[in-house]
Amino acid sequence: MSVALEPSTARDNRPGTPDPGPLSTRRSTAAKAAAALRKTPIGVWIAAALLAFLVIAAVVPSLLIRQDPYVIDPATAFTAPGAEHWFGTDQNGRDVFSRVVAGTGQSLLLGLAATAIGLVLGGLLGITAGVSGKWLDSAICRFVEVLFAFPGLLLALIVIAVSGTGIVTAAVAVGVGTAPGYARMLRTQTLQVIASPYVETALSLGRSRPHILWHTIVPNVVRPLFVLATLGVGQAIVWASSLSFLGLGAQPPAAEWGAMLADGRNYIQLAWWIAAFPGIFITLAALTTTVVGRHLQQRLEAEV
Amino acid sequence: MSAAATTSHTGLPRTTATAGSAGRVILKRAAGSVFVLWAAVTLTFFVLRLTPGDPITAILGGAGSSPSPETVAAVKAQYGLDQPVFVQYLDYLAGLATGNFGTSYIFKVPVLDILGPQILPTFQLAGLAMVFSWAIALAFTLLTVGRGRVLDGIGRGTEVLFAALPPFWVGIMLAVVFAVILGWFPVAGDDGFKSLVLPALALAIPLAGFIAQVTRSSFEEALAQPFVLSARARGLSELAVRLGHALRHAILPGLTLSAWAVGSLVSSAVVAEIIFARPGLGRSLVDAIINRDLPITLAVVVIIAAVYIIVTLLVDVLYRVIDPRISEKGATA
Repeated sequence: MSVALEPSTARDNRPGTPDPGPLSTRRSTAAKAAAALRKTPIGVWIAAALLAFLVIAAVVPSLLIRQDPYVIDPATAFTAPGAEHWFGTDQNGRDVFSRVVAGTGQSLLLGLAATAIGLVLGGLLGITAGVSGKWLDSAICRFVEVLFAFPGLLLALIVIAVSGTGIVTAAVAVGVGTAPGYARMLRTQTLQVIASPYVETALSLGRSRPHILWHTIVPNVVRPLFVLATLGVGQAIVWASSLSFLGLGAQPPAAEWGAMLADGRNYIQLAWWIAAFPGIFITLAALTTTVVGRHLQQRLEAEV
Repeated sequence: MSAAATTSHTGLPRTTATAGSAGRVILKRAAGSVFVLWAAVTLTFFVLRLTPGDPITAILGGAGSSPSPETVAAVKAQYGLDQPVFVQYLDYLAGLATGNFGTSYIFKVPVLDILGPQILPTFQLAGLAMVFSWAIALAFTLLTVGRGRVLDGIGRGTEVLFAALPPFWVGIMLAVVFAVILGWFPVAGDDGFKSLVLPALALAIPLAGFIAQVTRSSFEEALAQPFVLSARARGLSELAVRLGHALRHAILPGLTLSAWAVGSLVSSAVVAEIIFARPGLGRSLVDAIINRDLPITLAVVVIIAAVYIIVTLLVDVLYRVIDPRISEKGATA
């Protein structure tokens, strides 16, 4: 059960995933993939399309950007959304749409980096605990339990208190903040793999313990990580943008979503669009990664 | 303190045979909580010492000031900074035992004088947010689960959307619509219940998404149980079945999540406090981090961690009381 895990990963798998059934094992891989694609719900397709749009915005922003996101033009300040400026302009006349698109790369990268840091730290703790003897295992479990005493953003805020503000610190802070949840999950995963028939087979074949660790346990623990990461990125983006919003992460005039929101908040009564659109994009990023990640998780569970 | 809080619950389990073992389990849990609290305080104390920069500079007004060596020595002695770190740590623990959190580097007064007035507003905010999020989550569960494909899909989709919303953005949008445009609630400040509604909703809406997802799946399971069928067979109305039978089973997993929720509410209250210009612990924490006021930073972290640990313990105990089937092993997972 998942008392204090990260919320995005804490949910139970829902009933209603179509069970492939015993027949599916006889079908070819291609047919299975085609069937899986047909069964993919429409919502997942929409989420995947939106996610693809965000990825394009992150990788080749020049395809979408309509104006230089940093050039100041006071003459057009506070223009409402319209044909010329889809998302309006901000207090310095900068095109909000271009700024939101320009910020996608930084925001997604921040989420990815934080998730990667969280997974590596969590993996080191969790896998070590899982494969170690009683003493080290319980020491690590105790340590993780203590880390769980700092709920939500608190662990991330402690990291920032020590290492100062900035975008790199924000990624590390969010990564550290999510690490205890991953550590707990990966320990459980490791214990399951150790108890599985693969390890038993490898042991009976007379393989050495380090060999089993690297060739059997680690790959089987790491494989589902890809899905966990997809689920975690959305939450990491929300957390990292919260830190930027509080002035502890990316600093203005950076076109980072949280920092843009903090900036736009000052003009909210005059021009709601400056704060509204970056927030919609944070929500979109979190929503699409969650929907796609969950779908992949269900697929993975159905396969096993 | 957490040990004292639990002893009142030990008498509750149903039979005397289990009461003894349940009491022992709870005592063990309480001891574990005290250990975790001590370890959390210790970890934070030493980690915050790693902060670069001399605390003396923070105390004496920033990098620009050039105090005389005598002043520096006097300040060092006053804040105990001339002692070895380990002695400072023991002093801090001894202070905590008597409710003394030290002296603020920036305000030069006892930390509790600064934080004391901030505690209640944060807990009012977190408490109301908790009530709102449970109300929203239960409304979704009762109204949409098992009510046909369309309603079910709408409920499911809305929950996922809510869970993905960033609280600070929800706060700003609520402020625009309900305070600026409609004028139903104040834009900012701390002025009674009315000023609490929007910030509490900002925190509650994303949280409701998480809770509703958990209660939904357990409610679905409960509706498929034989006791629901037998209740229906006895001619109970749909509403009576949902409220009287299935709900109790659906709440339990959500309740476990509530301990986590209280912790995350208290620590994420900071964004609502800043958007709505409210006093509170979160706001004090962010200010203290920016001003490098270590004693206040440490104190807020310790207070939030302590509350979280105590709530986790209470929920654990409550869970046993509601559902005595839980074995010692099952509850640790």
